[in-house]
Amino acid sequence: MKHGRKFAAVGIAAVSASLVLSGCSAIVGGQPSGGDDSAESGTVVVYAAHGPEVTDPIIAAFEKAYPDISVSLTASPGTGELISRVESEMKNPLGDVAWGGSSENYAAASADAFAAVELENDAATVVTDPEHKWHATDALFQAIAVNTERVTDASSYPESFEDLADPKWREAGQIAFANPRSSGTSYSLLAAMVTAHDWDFLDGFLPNAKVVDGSSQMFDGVRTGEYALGFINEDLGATWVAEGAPLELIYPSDVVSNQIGVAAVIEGAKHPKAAETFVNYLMSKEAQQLMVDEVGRRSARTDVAPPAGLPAADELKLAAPDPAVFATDKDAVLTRFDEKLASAK
Amino acid sequence: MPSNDLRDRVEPLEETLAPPAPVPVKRRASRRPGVWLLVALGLLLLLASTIVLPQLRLVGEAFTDDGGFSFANFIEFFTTPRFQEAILNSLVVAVVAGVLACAVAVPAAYVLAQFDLPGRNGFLTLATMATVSPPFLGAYAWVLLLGRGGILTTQLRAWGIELPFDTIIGPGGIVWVTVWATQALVFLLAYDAFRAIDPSLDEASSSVGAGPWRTRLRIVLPMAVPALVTGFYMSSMKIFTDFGTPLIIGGGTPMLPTAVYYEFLSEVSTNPAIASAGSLVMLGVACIALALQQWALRRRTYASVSSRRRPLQPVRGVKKGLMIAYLGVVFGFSFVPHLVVVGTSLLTWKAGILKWVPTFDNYVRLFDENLEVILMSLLLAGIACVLCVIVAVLVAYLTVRRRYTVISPALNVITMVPYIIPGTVLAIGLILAFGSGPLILTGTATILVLAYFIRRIPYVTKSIEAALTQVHPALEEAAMSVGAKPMRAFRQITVPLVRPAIVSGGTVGFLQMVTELSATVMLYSVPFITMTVVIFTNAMQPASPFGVASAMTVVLMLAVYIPLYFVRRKFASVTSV
Repeated sequence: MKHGRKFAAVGIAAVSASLVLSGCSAIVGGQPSGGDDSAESGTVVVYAAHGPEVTDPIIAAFEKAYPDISVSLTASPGTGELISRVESEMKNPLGDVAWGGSSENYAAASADAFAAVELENDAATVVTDPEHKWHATDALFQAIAVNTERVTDASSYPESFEDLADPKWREAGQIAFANPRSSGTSYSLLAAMVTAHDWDFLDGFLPNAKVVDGSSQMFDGVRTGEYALGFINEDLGATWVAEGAPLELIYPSDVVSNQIGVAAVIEGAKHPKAAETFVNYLMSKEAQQLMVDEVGRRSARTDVAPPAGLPAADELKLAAPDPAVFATDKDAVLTRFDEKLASAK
Repeated sequence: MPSNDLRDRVEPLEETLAPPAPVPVKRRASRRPGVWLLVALGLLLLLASTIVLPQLRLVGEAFTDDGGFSFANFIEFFTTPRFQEAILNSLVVAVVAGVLACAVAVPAAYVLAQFDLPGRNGFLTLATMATVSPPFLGAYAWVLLLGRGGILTTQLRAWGIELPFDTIIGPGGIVWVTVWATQALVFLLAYDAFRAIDPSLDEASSSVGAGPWRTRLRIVLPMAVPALVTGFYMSSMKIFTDFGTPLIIGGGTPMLPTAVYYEFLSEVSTNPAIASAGSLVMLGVACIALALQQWALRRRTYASVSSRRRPLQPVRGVKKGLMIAYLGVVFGFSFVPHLVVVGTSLLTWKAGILKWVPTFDNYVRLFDENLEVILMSLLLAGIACVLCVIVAVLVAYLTVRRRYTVISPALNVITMVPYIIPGTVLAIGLILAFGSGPLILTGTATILVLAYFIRRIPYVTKSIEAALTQVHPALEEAAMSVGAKPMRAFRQITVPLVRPAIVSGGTVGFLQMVTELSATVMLYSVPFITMTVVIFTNAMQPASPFGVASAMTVVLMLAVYIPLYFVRRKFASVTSV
């Protein structure tokens, strides 16, 4: 009897505890919901696909500038997961702001995921969404990264995408290239290289490439010397070089792939005013200067200079792939890539 | 060897009631359904609404094309080369890793079960600890050591020692990480099985002139087959469904979980229909594997009713040294990720690069902001674990003892469904089901408890089921024959008999819940932040402060190992899963 009672008692305790938790969560977790429509007070729930190295300094400065708004940060593993979370919560949105990922990711999201709002600072950015859903917060360019411990002869460094198709790289070590199915960065690289050259360019490039899963594996792989070459986001590459990593960054002379990093107000947000304040702040000169100084990333504003050591945008041949091909029919692009990859093996 | 008080209490009872020799388990349905039928229907309703309903979208998407019912997604899945390659790779890696995990763990379990070696309890504790590895940092740790530019690789190269491989990254690395991460499961199952073998069997074998190796091969090993089958099944299924390990150490090797994951959640282009079809294919493979495991067990299961404790044989000299060395190597490798995490938590990280500068900063940063997450993790996992154990005991009982025609198999299959659904996908299903409508759970702690419950119900049910097949039904029938009602017989006879399995299954379930990551990151909201979320947010980008992630992992390990130690002391046999 004793065991049976104990068993039942524990069960009841657990069930009631979980009920209490779920009940309490409205009090503990709900924060000041409703009645929080003034722009300068309340909470803003930010879903971010950035790590603390980006979010910490900027959120700290925001909370200083708007002491009555507190930021509740929820990190997502990546842009894909972030947008999936927003989309699956569409009937009852819990987040106010989505932050991180490129304009292409946000443009491809469900039509009702993000709110169309015009913000004061939109006008100061290099590019604006005609639908006013996403708002530019940073600009990312990719460089070729050479691991200088793997490739010791500086005169043999590649200078362009074209050089990466040279068969010498097949023996000298592979070129890390994230699968464009899993990495938005790689998708941009792919779009840039086939726009600057053509699809047949891949017949020379892919046999030299080692296709890995996810951008992080590509970046880390070339830093640790797992692969001799790769591609890297310029801000991360520059930070690593400053920390002594054996890397040399080269902006390809034929074309430089690039994305606009963005944020958006989530449609149906519980704290829409605070959300707009936050997103507008991300585009402010103050926040953009932090993006440059603390993160080492290029600003999306025209009046903020790039981080020291990064070339000015007009010195580079920036890629502008045709959106009719690369934005509207990604499946066709990826299938074509798969075919080229299969024939390169 | 410390006394195992539970078994001491249980075995005399067993002896008086059960036939004296090992008997094949016979399963029969009771002639008196009543209460149990109601319980079964209630469970079916509960599990159907929490497990099946939220995932129905998956089934719907998989069988829909152009708005109508169709197999087109499956045809496309099986005819696309990158999926074909992924299926093949996943199957091969799963089988190879399962075989190697058994090959490593079984000799270790045998020597510890058979011979009187020092530190036995220490090894058993280590094995239980090793069943929990640092979430996703395991593969990362091996890459840090043995990647092409890894710490060990570089050092050995500097000393002029050439490794037989350039880098651990690749399919071999996936197998390597999996073997060391899962061998402890096999070890514990095999150890229990070896200890349970009636000593009179090998005595009989040697009395008719069989040598020790012949006895081992013909008597001892066959008796351990059920444990081996289950161990093989669990370690191969673990890698078959694991997403993080192939991503980090696979070097782009196409594997099924990564391929399906990206079809669901890629930032570039998703195809939920193909992804759903892929998930169902994985579910199908898992069901086949489960059926094979059960079939193998059915032919081999013996409910041992011996009352004699198996004696430990003395061993000396070189032989003893070799045995201890072997155990040391096996567990040493299993703890490499743990040691790497401890090491890196005490070193400086700058922009994701490890510097050889010792520091406590990581811990200082951690304790500045993240102390309450420890309690939150333990609380959420604790509640989910208790619920999980209660449901698991009932389901296991219903599938093993009360074999209702449709209901019992249905329960069995439903509890296995979460085994195969990627945590992230499971989370999306939960958000869609409980994010609107009559019952809104998103944004609460309840949805995390529910997710933990669902994700771990297969493991806990399996472990209790395994224990239940070893308990002879005659005990309960005897109680009922003297007038006990079915529920009373269940509570007073069956539950106490499987209590070691309840404790061990519950413990491992709890540990796995505390370390759950993939569903948590999709479902959590402030202030319900867990330790894994902190680990993850500090390791998510290449320039993230990994040291803080390592420090949090160390704290997480301590937070689970300390309770584990006390549970083990209280119930000496916290072993098999």
